Amino acid sequence: MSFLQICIALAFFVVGLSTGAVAWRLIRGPSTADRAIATDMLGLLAICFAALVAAATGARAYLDIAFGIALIGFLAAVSFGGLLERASAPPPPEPGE
Amino acid sequence: MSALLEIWAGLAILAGAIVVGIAALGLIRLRDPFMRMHAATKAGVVGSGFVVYGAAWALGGGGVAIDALIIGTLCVVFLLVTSPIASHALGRAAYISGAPIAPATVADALHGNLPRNLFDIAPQRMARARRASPSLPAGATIMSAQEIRAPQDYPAPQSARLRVLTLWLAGGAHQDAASEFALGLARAQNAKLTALSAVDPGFAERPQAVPVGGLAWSQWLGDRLRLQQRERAAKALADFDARAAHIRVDAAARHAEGALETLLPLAAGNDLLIVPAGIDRFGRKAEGGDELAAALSVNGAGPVLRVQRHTPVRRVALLLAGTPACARLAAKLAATGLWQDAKITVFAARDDAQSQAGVEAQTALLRAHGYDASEADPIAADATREAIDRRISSFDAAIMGALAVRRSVLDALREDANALLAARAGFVLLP
Repeated sequence: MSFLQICIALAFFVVGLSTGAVAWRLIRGPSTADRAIATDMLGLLAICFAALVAAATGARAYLDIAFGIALIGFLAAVSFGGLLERASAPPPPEPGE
Repeated sequence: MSALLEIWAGLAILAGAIVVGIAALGLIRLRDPFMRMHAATKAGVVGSGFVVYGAAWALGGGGVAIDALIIGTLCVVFLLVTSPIASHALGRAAYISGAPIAPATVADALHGNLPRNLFDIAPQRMARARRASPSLPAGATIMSAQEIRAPQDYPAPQSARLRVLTLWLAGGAHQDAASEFALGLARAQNAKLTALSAVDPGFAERPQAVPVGGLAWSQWLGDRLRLQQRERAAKALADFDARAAHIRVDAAARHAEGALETLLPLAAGNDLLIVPAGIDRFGRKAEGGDELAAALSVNGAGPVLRVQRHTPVRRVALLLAGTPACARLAAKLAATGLWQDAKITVFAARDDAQSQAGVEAQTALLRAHGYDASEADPIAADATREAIDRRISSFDAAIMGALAVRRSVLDALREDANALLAARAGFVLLP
Protein backbone atom coordinates (compact mmCIF):
# COMPACT_ATOMS: atom_id res chain seq x y z
CA MET A 1 0.00 0.00 0.00
CA SER A 2 1.64 3.19 -1.15
CA PHE A 3 1.73 6.47 0.70
CA LEU A 4 -0.86 7.90 -1.68
CA GLN A 5 -3.30 5.09 -0.98
CA ILE A 6 -2.91 5.52 2.78
CA CYS A 7 -3.56 9.25 2.39
CA ILE A 8 -6.66 8.59 0.29
CA ALA A 9 -7.98 6.08 2.82
CA LEU A 10 -7.44 8.51 5.68
CA ALA A 11 -9.09 11.28 3.65
CA PHE A 12 -12.10 9.02 2.97
CA PHE A 13 -12.38 8.38 6.69
CA VAL A 14 -12.21 12.08 7.64
CA VAL A 15 -14.60 13.19 4.90
CA GLY A 16 -17.00 10.41 5.89
CA LEU A 17 -16.99 11.59 9.49
CA SER A 18 -17.58 15.15 8.28
CA THR A 19 -20.54 13.99 6.24
CA GLY A 20 -22.04 12.47 9.36
CA ALA A 21 -21.53 15.74 11.23
CA VAL A 22 -23.06 17.83 8.46
CA ALA A 23 -25.99 15.43 8.17
CA TRP A 24 -26.57 15.83 11.89
CA ARG A 25 -26.70 19.59 11.46
CA LEU A 26 -29.03 19.16 8.47
CA ILE A 27 -31.47 17.12 10.55
CA ARG A 28 -31.08 19.10 13.75
CA GLY A 29 -31.51 22.58 12.27
CA PRO A 30 -32.69 24.47 14.22
CA SER A 31 -33.49 27.10 11.60
CA THR A 32 -34.01 26.73 7.87
CA ALA A 33 -30.90 28.83 7.35
CA ASP A 34 -28.86 26.19 9.20
CA ARG A 35 -30.26 23.51 6.92
CA ALA A 36 -29.47 25.53 3.81
CA ILE A 37 -25.89 26.01 5.00
CA ALA A 38 -25.59 22.30 5.78
CA THR A 39 -26.85 21.49 2.27
CA ASP A 40 -24.22 23.77 0.80
CA MET A 41 -21.57 22.03 2.86
CA LEU A 42 -22.87 18.61 1.75
CA GLY A 43 -22.24 19.72 -1.83
CA LEU A 44 -18.63 20.51 -0.95
CA LEU A 45 -18.29 17.09 0.70
CA ALA A 46 -19.72 15.46 -2.43
CA ILE A 47 -17.01 17.23 -4.45
CA CYS A 48 -14.43 15.78 -2.05
CA PHE A 49 -15.90 12.29 -2.43
CA ALA A 50 -15.91 12.50 -6.21
CA ALA A 51 -12.29 13.70 -6.25
CA LEU A 52 -11.23 10.97 -3.82
CA VAL A 53 -12.94 8.29 -5.91
CA ALA A 54 -11.15 9.67 -8.96
CA ALA A 55 -7.81 9.47 -7.13
CA ALA A 56 -8.51 6.00 -5.74
CA THR A 57 -9.75 4.35 -8.94
CA GLY A 58 -7.95 6.43 -11.56
CA ALA A 59 -11.23 7.15 -13.34
CA ARG A 60 -10.88 10.67 -14.71
CA ALA A 61 -14.61 11.09 -15.28
CA TYR A 62 -15.03 11.51 -11.54
CA LEU A 63 -13.16 14.81 -11.70
CA ASP A 64 -15.74 16.03 -14.22
CA ILE A 65 -18.43 14.88 -11.79
CA ALA A 66 -16.75 16.96 -9.06
CA PHE A 67 -16.85 19.97 -11.35
CA GLY A 68 -20.52 19.37 -12.11
CA ILE A 69 -21.38 19.11 -8.43
CA ALA A 70 -19.52 22.37 -7.76
CA LEU A 71 -21.67 24.07 -10.41
CA ILE A 72 -24.93 22.67 -9.08
CA GLY A 73 -23.94 23.41 -5.49
CA PHE A 74 -23.45 27.06 -6.28
CA LEU A 75 -26.80 27.35 -8.03
CA ALA A 76 -28.46 25.48 -5.15
CA ALA A 77 -26.96 27.82 -2.55
CA VAL A 78 -28.05 30.96 -4.38
CA SER A 79 -31.57 29.69 -5.02
CA PHE A 80 -31.89 28.46 -1.45
CA GLY A 81 -30.94 31.95 -0.32
CA GLY A 82 -33.58 33.54 -2.52
CA LEU A 83 -36.20 31.08 -1.34
CA LEU A 84 -35.39 31.74 2.32
CA GLU A 85 -35.71 35.48 1.82
CA ARG A 86 -39.06 35.18 0.13
CA ALA A 87 -40.57 32.42 2.25
CA SER A 88 -39.97 33.85 5.72
CA ALA A 89 -42.94 35.57 7.33
CA PRO A 90 -42.73 39.31 7.91
CA PRO A 91 -43.13 40.36 11.54
CA PRO A 92 -46.64 41.38 12.58
CA PRO A 93 -47.15 45.14 12.62
CA GLU A 94 -46.77 46.75 16.04
CA PRO A 95 -50.11 47.82 17.42
CA GLY A 96 -50.45 51.52 17.90
CA GLU A 97 -48.51 52.47 14.83
CA MET B 1 9.98 12.01 -9.66
CA SER B 2 6.85 9.88 -9.54
CA ALA B 3 7.35 9.10 -5.82
CA LEU B 4 7.70 12.81 -5.12
CA LEU B 5 4.52 13.54 -7.08
CA GLU B 6 2.65 10.85 -5.20
CA ILE B 7 3.76 12.24 -1.85
CA TRP B 8 2.74 15.74 -2.95
CA ALA B 9 -0.69 14.54 -4.11
CA GLY B 10 -1.22 12.47 -0.97
CA LEU B 11 -0.30 15.38 1.31
CA ALA B 12 -2.65 17.72 -0.56
CA ILE B 13 -5.50 15.22 -0.28
CA LEU B 14 -4.86 14.63 3.40
CA ALA B 15 -4.56 18.35 4.18
CA GLY B 16 -7.79 19.05 2.30
CA ALA B 17 -9.61 16.29 4.15
CA ILE B 18 -8.43 17.64 7.50
CA VAL B 19 -9.57 21.17 6.64
CA VAL B 20 -12.95 19.80 5.55
CA GLY B 21 -13.15 17.92 8.83
CA ILE B 22 -12.48 21.16 10.72
CA ALA B 23 -15.19 22.90 8.71
CA ALA B 24 -17.65 20.15 9.62
CA LEU B 25 -16.62 20.46 13.27
CA GLY B 26 -17.36 24.17 13.03
CA LEU B 27 -20.73 23.42 11.51
CA ILE B 28 -21.60 21.34 14.55
CA ARG B 29 -20.02 23.39 17.29
CA LEU B 30 -20.48 27.05 16.33
CA ARG B 31 -23.36 28.86 17.89
CA ASP B 32 -25.44 30.59 15.27
CA PRO B 33 -26.14 30.20 11.52
CA PHE B 34 -23.83 33.09 10.66
CA MET B 35 -20.81 31.53 12.34
CA ARG B 36 -21.71 28.16 10.80
CA MET B 37 -21.94 29.72 7.37
CA HIS B 38 -18.51 31.20 7.95
CA ALA B 39 -17.04 27.77 8.77
CA ALA B 40 -18.82 25.87 6.02
CA THR B 41 -18.08 28.17 3.12
CA LYS B 42 -14.55 29.35 3.87
CA ALA B 43 -12.91 26.27 5.36
CA GLY B 44 -15.09 23.96 3.28
CA VAL B 45 -14.02 25.53 0.00
CA VAL B 46 -10.32 25.51 0.90
CA GLY B 47 -10.56 21.87 2.03
CA SER B 48 -12.43 20.54 -0.98
CA GLY B 49 -10.22 22.61 -3.29
CA PHE B 50 -7.14 20.92 -1.86
CA VAL B 51 -8.73 17.47 -2.23
CA VAL B 52 -9.67 18.11 -5.87
CA TYR B 53 -6.22 19.46 -6.67
CA GLY B 54 -4.52 16.54 -4.95
CA ALA B 55 -6.72 14.10 -6.84
CA ALA B 56 -5.85 15.81 -10.14
CA TRP B 57 -2.14 15.37 -9.42
CA ALA B 58 -2.65 11.78 -8.30
CA LEU B 59 -4.46 10.86 -11.55
CA GLY B 60 -1.27 10.99 -13.56
CA GLY B 61 -0.25 7.54 -12.31
CA GLY B 62 3.39 8.52 -11.92
CA GLY B 63 3.39 11.20 -14.60
CA VAL B 64 1.45 14.45 -15.02
CA ALA B 65 -2.02 14.14 -16.57
CA ILE B 66 -2.57 17.50 -18.26
CA ASP B 67 -6.31 17.12 -18.88
CA ALA B 68 -6.96 16.04 -15.26
CA LEU B 69 -4.93 19.03 -14.04
CA ILE B 70 -6.89 21.41 -16.24
CA ILE B 71 -10.22 20.05 -14.99
CA GLY B 72 -8.99 20.15 -11.39
CA THR B 73 -7.71 23.72 -11.66
CA LEU B 74 -10.95 24.80 -13.32
CA CYS B 75 -12.92 23.21 -10.50
CA VAL B 76 -10.84 24.95 -7.81
CA VAL B 77 -11.04 28.33 -9.53
CA PHE B 78 -14.77 27.92 -9.97
CA LEU B 79 -15.17 27.09 -6.29
CA LEU B 80 -13.09 30.10 -5.24
CA VAL B 81 -15.09 32.43 -7.48
CA THR B 82 -18.56 31.22 -6.57
CA SER B 83 -18.27 30.49 -2.87
CA PRO B 84 -18.21 34.17 -1.80
CA ILE B 85 -21.43 34.73 -3.74
CA ALA B 86 -23.04 31.61 -2.35
CA SER B 87 -22.04 32.40 1.22
CA HIS B 88 -23.22 35.98 0.86
CA ALA B 89 -26.59 34.80 -0.43
CA LEU B 90 -26.92 32.29 2.40
CA GLY B 91 -25.88 34.75 5.10
CA ARG B 92 -28.19 37.44 3.81
CA ALA B 93 -31.04 34.96 3.62
CA ALA B 94 -30.28 33.79 7.15
CA TYR B 95 -30.40 37.37 8.45
CA ILE B 96 -33.59 38.26 6.64
CA SER B 97 -35.32 35.05 7.64
CA GLY B 98 -34.64 36.01 11.24
CA ALA B 99 -32.17 33.29 12.20
CA PRO B 100 -31.13 33.85 15.82
CA ILE B 101 -27.90 35.68 16.54
CA ALA B 102 -25.77 34.18 19.31
CA PRO B 103 -25.70 36.26 22.50
CA ALA B 104 -21.89 36.48 22.34
CA THR B 105 -22.15 38.67 19.25
CA VAL B 106 -21.15 42.21 20.14
CA ALA B 107 -23.24 44.18 17.70
CA ASP B 108 -25.80 43.65 14.97
CA ALA B 109 -24.30 45.90 12.32
CA LEU B 110 -27.06 45.13 9.84
CA HIS B 111 -29.77 46.36 12.18
CA GLY B 112 -31.91 48.81 10.25
CA ASN B 113 -30.18 48.13 6.95
CA LEU B 114 -31.92 44.90 6.07
CA PRO B 115 -35.46 43.84 6.91
CA ARG B 116 -35.60 41.07 9.47
CA ASN B 117 -38.48 38.63 9.49
CA LEU B 118 -39.59 36.22 12.13
CA PHE B 119 -37.40 33.28 13.03
CA ASP B 120 -38.99 30.34 11.36
CA ILE B 121 -38.71 27.45 13.80
CA ALA B 122 -41.53 28.29 16.17
CA PRO B 123 -44.87 29.36 14.67
CA GLN B 124 -46.10 30.37 18.12
CA ARG B 125 -43.62 33.22 18.07
CA MET B 126 -46.12 35.07 15.91
CA ALA B 127 -48.50 35.20 18.81
CA ARG B 128 -45.84 36.10 21.33
CA ALA B 129 -44.51 38.99 19.28
CA ARG B 130 -47.93 40.60 19.28
CA ARG B 131 -47.68 42.07 22.76
CA ALA B 132 -48.98 45.57 23.41
CA SER B 133 -46.35 48.15 22.67
CA PRO B 134 -46.14 50.73 25.44
CA SER B 135 -44.50 53.30 23.21
CA LEU B 136 -47.12 55.52 21.66
CA PRO B 137 -46.80 58.67 19.62
CA ALA B 138 -46.95 61.79 21.73
CA GLY B 139 -50.45 63.02 22.31
CA ALA B 140 -52.15 59.78 21.35
CA THR B 141 -55.04 58.71 23.49
CA ILE B 142 -54.14 55.53 25.29
CA MET B 143 -56.41 53.09 26.97
CA SER B 144 -54.45 52.04 29.99
CA ALA B 145 -55.76 50.76 33.28
CA GLN B 146 -55.23 54.22 34.72
CA GLU B 147 -57.50 55.90 32.23
CA ILE B 148 -60.24 53.36 32.63
CA ARG B 149 -60.24 54.02 36.35
CA ALA B 150 -60.35 57.82 36.02
CA PRO B 151 -61.51 59.02 32.61
CA GLN B 152 -60.46 62.48 31.64
CA ASP B 153 -63.54 64.58 32.19
CA TYR B 154 -65.18 62.40 34.75
CA PRO B 155 -65.13 64.21 38.09
CA ALA B 156 -63.13 62.09 40.48
CA PRO B 157 -64.70 61.61 43.89
CA GLN B 158 -63.46 63.94 46.55
CA SER B 159 -61.81 61.18 48.48
CA ALA B 160 -59.67 60.05 45.55
CA ARG B 161 -57.25 57.51 46.92
CA LEU B 162 -54.04 56.08 45.67
CA ARG B 163 -54.21 52.34 45.98
CA VAL B 164 -51.24 51.13 43.99
CA LEU B 165 -47.97 53.05 44.06
CA THR B 166 -44.76 52.21 42.27
CA LEU B 167 -41.45 53.61 43.38
CA TRP B 168 -38.73 53.54 40.75
CA LEU B 169 -35.38 52.79 42.40
CA ALA B 170 -33.02 54.50 40.01
CA GLY B 171 -30.36 55.60 42.47
CA GLY B 172 -28.83 59.01 42.34
CA ALA B 173 -28.82 62.00 44.65
CA HIS B 174 -32.59 62.29 45.02
CA GLN B 175 -33.43 58.62 45.58
CA ASP B 176 -33.52 59.03 49.38
CA ALA B 177 -36.12 61.79 49.16
CA ALA B 178 -38.18 59.72 46.73
CA SER B 179 -38.07 56.59 48.89
CA GLU B 180 -38.96 58.53 52.02
CA PHE B 181 -41.84 60.29 50.29
CA ALA B 182 -43.15 57.08 48.74
CA LEU B 183 -43.17 55.22 52.04
CA GLY B 184 -44.85 58.12 53.80
CA LEU B 185 -47.49 58.38 51.09
CA ALA B 186 -48.11 54.64 51.07
CA ARG B 187 -48.58 54.72 54.83
CA ALA B 188 -50.88 57.73 54.76
CA GLN B 189 -53.03 56.37 51.94
CA ASN B 190 -52.79 52.74 53.08
CA ALA B 191 -51.66 51.92 49.56
CA LYS B 192 -49.71 49.03 48.16
CA LEU B 193 -46.19 50.12 47.35
CA THR B 194 -44.02 48.29 44.87
CA ALA B 195 -40.38 49.29 44.65
CA LEU B 196 -39.02 48.55 41.22
CA SER B 197 -35.26 48.53 40.83
CA ALA B 198 -35.13 48.48 37.08
CA VAL B 199 -31.96 48.45 35.04
CA ASP B 200 -32.03 49.52 31.42
CA PRO B 201 -28.81 48.17 29.93
CA GLY B 202 -29.36 50.48 26.95
CA PHE B 203 -26.21 51.00 25.00
CA ALA B 204 -24.37 48.79 27.47
CA GLU B 205 -26.19 46.00 25.71
CA ARG B 206 -25.10 47.10 22.28
CA PRO B 207 -21.92 49.12 22.62
CA GLN B 208 -20.67 51.30 19.85
CA ALA B 209 -17.12 51.06 18.61
CA VAL B 210 -14.75 53.48 20.32
CA PRO B 211 -12.30 55.19 17.93
CA VAL B 212 -9.19 53.81 19.61
CA GLY B 213 -9.25 50.17 20.58
CA GLY B 214 -12.55 49.49 18.86
CA LEU B 215 -14.87 46.83 20.11
CA ALA B 216 -12.66 45.52 22.89
CA TRP B 217 -12.88 48.83 24.69
CA SER B 218 -16.55 49.35 24.06
CA GLN B 219 -17.30 45.90 25.42
CA TRP B 220 -15.29 46.69 28.52
CA LEU B 221 -17.10 50.00 28.89
CA GLY B 222 -20.47 48.33 28.43
CA ASP B 223 -19.68 45.70 31.07
CA ARG B 224 -18.55 48.39 33.49
CA LEU B 225 -21.64 50.48 32.92
CA ARG B 226 -23.92 47.52 33.49
CA LEU B 227 -22.01 46.62 36.64
CA GLN B 228 -22.41 50.16 37.94
CA GLN B 229 -26.12 50.11 37.12
CA ARG B 230 -26.58 46.85 39.01
CA GLU B 231 -24.59 48.08 41.99
CA ARG B 232 -26.67 51.24 42.12
CA ALA B 233 -29.91 49.25 41.90
CA ALA B 234 -28.73 46.89 44.65
CA LYS B 235 -27.82 49.82 46.88
CA ALA B 236 -31.16 51.55 46.32
CA LEU B 237 -32.96 48.26 46.97
CA ALA B 238 -31.07 47.63 50.22
CA ASP B 239 -31.74 51.20 51.29
CA PHE B 240 -35.44 50.83 50.53
CA ASP B 241 -35.60 47.57 52.47
CA ALA B 242 -33.96 49.20 55.47
CA ARG B 243 -36.44 52.07 55.37
CA ALA B 244 -39.48 49.88 54.84
CA ALA B 245 -38.52 47.47 57.63
CA HIS B 246 -39.59 49.73 60.47
CA ILE B 247 -42.62 51.34 58.81
CA ARG B 248 -45.82 49.34 58.61
CA VAL B 249 -46.63 49.51 54.91
CA ASP B 250 -47.67 46.99 52.32
CA ALA B 251 -44.39 47.14 50.42
CA ALA B 252 -42.79 44.76 47.98
CA ALA B 253 -39.59 45.10 46.02
CA ARG B 254 -38.60 43.59 42.74
CA HIS B 255 -35.75 43.83 40.30
CA ALA B 256 -36.04 43.76 36.54
CA GLU B 257 -33.74 44.35 33.61
CA GLY B 258 -34.50 45.30 30.06
CA ALA B 259 -35.22 48.23 27.82
CA LEU B 260 -37.48 50.87 29.34
CA GLU B 261 -40.28 49.97 26.94
CA THR B 262 -40.32 46.38 28.14
CA LEU B 263 -40.17 47.41 31.79
CA LEU B 264 -43.22 49.65 31.54
CA PRO B 265 -45.80 46.85 31.75
CA LEU B 266 -44.39 46.05 35.21
CA ALA B 267 -45.56 49.47 36.35
CA ALA B 268 -48.89 49.27 34.52
CA GLY B 269 -52.10 49.81 36.41
CA ASN B 270 -50.54 51.85 39.16
CA ASP B 271 -52.05 55.08 40.40
CA LEU B 272 -48.80 56.97 40.76
CA LEU B 273 -45.26 56.31 39.64
CA ILE B 274 -42.73 57.94 41.96
CA VAL B 275 -39.41 58.64 40.29
CA PRO B 276 -36.31 60.36 41.67
CA ALA B 277 -35.20 63.50 39.87
CA GLY B 278 -31.99 64.24 38.08
CA ILE B 279 -31.33 60.79 36.64
CA ASP B 280 -31.91 59.25 33.24
CA ARG B 281 -33.03 55.80 32.18
CA PHE B 282 -29.47 54.46 32.20
CA GLY B 283 -28.78 55.79 35.72
CA ARG B 284 -26.62 58.69 34.62
CA LYS B 285 -27.03 62.31 35.70
CA ALA B 286 -29.47 64.13 33.45
CA GLU B 287 -31.87 67.02 33.39
CA GLY B 288 -34.83 68.26 31.41
CA GLY B 289 -36.28 66.04 28.75
CA ASP B 290 -33.56 63.39 29.17
CA GLU B 291 -34.70 62.48 32.63
CA LEU B 292 -36.20 59.13 33.53
CA ALA B 293 -39.39 60.85 34.68
CA ALA B 294 -39.80 62.52 31.29
CA ALA B 295 -39.08 59.27 29.43
CA LEU B 296 -41.64 57.40 31.52
CA SER B 297 -44.23 60.12 31.05
CA VAL B 298 -43.72 60.25 27.29
CA ASN B 299 -44.07 56.48 27.07
CA GLY B 300 -47.47 56.60 28.72
CA ALA B 301 -46.64 55.14 32.12
CA GLY B 302 -49.49 56.99 33.81
CA PRO B 303 -49.03 59.90 36.19
CA VAL B 304 -45.39 60.32 37.15
CA LEU B 305 -44.35 62.16 40.27
CA ARG B 306 -40.75 63.31 40.08
CA VAL B 307 -39.31 63.85 43.53
CA GLN B 308 -36.37 66.16 44.05
CA ARG B 309 -36.77 67.22 47.70
CA HIS B 310 -39.12 65.86 50.31
CA THR B 311 -40.69 69.01 51.70
CA PRO B 312 -44.19 69.82 52.90
CA VAL B 313 -46.22 71.18 49.98
CA ARG B 314 -48.00 74.48 50.56
CA ARG B 315 -47.95 76.19 47.18
CA VAL B 316 -48.34 74.38 43.86
CA ALA B 317 -47.84 75.79 40.38
CA LEU B 318 -49.88 74.49 37.48
CA LEU B 319 -47.99 75.56 34.38
CA LEU B 320 -49.56 75.41 30.94
CA ALA B 321 -47.00 75.35 28.14
CA GLY B 322 -49.16 74.52 25.17
CA THR B 323 -48.28 70.84 24.86
CA PRO B 324 -51.16 68.41 24.23
CA ALA B 325 -50.74 66.94 27.72
CA CYS B 326 -51.45 70.31 29.34
CA ALA B 327 -55.21 69.98 28.94
CA ARG B 328 -55.21 66.98 31.28
CA LEU B 329 -53.19 68.50 34.11
CA ALA B 330 -56.01 69.46 36.47
CA ALA B 331 -57.93 66.23 35.84
CA LYS B 332 -54.81 64.21 36.62
CA LEU B 333 -54.17 66.09 39.82
CA ALA B 334 -57.75 65.50 40.89
CA ALA B 335 -57.44 61.81 40.01
CA THR B 336 -54.40 61.37 42.21
CA GLY B 337 -55.89 63.42 45.02
CA LEU B 338 -52.52 64.84 45.99
CA TRP B 339 -51.97 68.20 47.69
CA GLN B 340 -55.59 68.79 48.67
CA ASP B 341 -54.67 71.42 51.25
CA ALA B 342 -52.19 73.30 49.10
CA LYS B 343 -52.80 76.60 47.37
CA ILE B 344 -52.66 76.10 43.62
CA THR B 345 -51.68 78.83 41.20
CA VAL B 346 -52.53 78.31 37.53
CA PHE B 347 -50.61 80.23 34.90
CA ALA B 348 -49.42 79.89 31.33
CA ALA B 349 -45.90 79.92 29.98
CA ARG B 350 -46.90 82.06 27.00
CA ASP B 351 -49.12 85.03 26.63
CA ASP B 352 -51.88 84.30 24.12
CA ALA B 353 -55.66 83.88 24.10
CA GLN B 354 -55.55 80.10 23.78
CA SER B 355 -53.35 79.72 26.84
CA GLN B 356 -55.57 82.11 28.77
CA ALA B 357 -58.64 80.03 27.93
CA GLY B 358 -56.76 76.94 29.11
CA VAL B 359 -55.86 78.65 32.37
CA GLU B 360 -59.49 79.53 33.01
CA ALA B 361 -60.69 76.01 32.21
CA GLN B 362 -58.10 74.38 34.43
CA THR B 363 -58.83 76.71 37.31
CA ALA B 364 -62.56 76.04 37.03
CA LEU B 365 -61.96 72.30 36.99
CA LEU B 366 -59.73 72.47 40.06
CA ARG B 367 -62.29 74.55 41.93
CA ALA B 368 -64.99 72.02 41.01
CA HIS B 369 -62.84 69.36 42.66
CA GLY B 370 -62.57 71.46 45.80
CA TYR B 371 -59.06 72.75 45.35
CA ASP B 372 -58.01 76.22 46.39
CA ALA B 373 -57.03 77.39 42.90
CA SER B 374 -56.30 80.86 41.59
CA GLU B 375 -55.26 82.28 38.22
CA ALA B 376 -52.09 84.26 37.68
CA ASP B 377 -50.66 86.32 34.85
CA PRO B 378 -48.86 84.45 32.07
CA ILE B 379 -45.10 84.67 31.81
CA ALA B 380 -44.13 87.45 29.43
CA ALA B 381 -42.28 86.48 26.28
CA ASP B 382 -39.28 88.64 27.15
CA ALA B 383 -39.03 87.59 30.79
CA THR B 384 -35.47 87.09 31.95
CA ARG B 385 -34.26 84.06 33.82
CA GLU B 386 -34.07 86.04 37.07
CA ALA B 387 -37.64 87.32 36.69
CA ILE B 388 -39.02 83.83 36.14
CA ASP B 389 -36.91 82.47 38.99
CA ARG B 390 -38.24 85.13 41.32
CA ARG B 391 -41.74 84.28 40.32
CA ILE B 392 -41.52 80.54 40.77
CA SER B 393 -39.21 80.39 43.77
CA SER B 394 -42.06 80.14 46.26
CA PHE B 395 -43.59 76.97 44.80
CA ASP B 396 -42.94 73.64 46.52
CA ALA B 397 -44.46 71.54 43.77
CA ALA B 398 -45.44 71.85 40.13
CA ILE B 399 -47.80 70.23 37.69
CA MET B 400 -46.81 70.46 34.06
CA GLY B 401 -46.97 68.67 30.76
CA ALA B 402 -43.23 68.20 30.18
CA LEU B 403 -40.01 68.74 32.06
CA ALA B 404 -38.62 70.91 29.29
CA VAL B 405 -40.24 72.52 26.30
CA ARG B 406 -38.07 73.27 23.30
CA ARG B 407 -39.89 72.77 20.10
CA SER B 408 -38.91 75.44 17.65
CA VAL B 409 -36.07 77.80 16.92
CA LEU B 410 -38.18 80.57 18.42
CA ASP B 411 -38.23 78.75 21.75
CA ALA B 412 -34.48 79.04 22.00
CA LEU B 413 -34.84 82.82 22.32
CA ARG B 414 -36.95 82.69 25.45
CA GLU B 415 -36.32 81.13 28.80
CA ASP B 416 -37.85 77.70 29.30
CA ALA B 417 -40.16 78.21 32.25
CA ASN B 418 -40.84 74.47 32.49
CA ALA B 419 -37.17 73.61 32.91
CA LEU B 420 -36.63 76.39 35.45
CA LEU B 421 -39.65 75.30 37.46
CA ALA B 422 -38.57 71.66 37.30
CA ALA B 423 -35.17 72.61 38.66
CA ARG B 424 -36.72 74.52 41.56
CA ALA B 425 -39.74 72.50 42.66
CA GLY B 426 -39.42 69.64 45.12
CA PHE B 427 -42.14 67.65 43.36
CA VAL B 428 -43.24 67.66 39.74
CA LEU B 429 -46.37 65.83 38.64
CA LEU B 430 -46.36 64.79 35.00
CA PRO B 431 -49.64 63.43 33.60
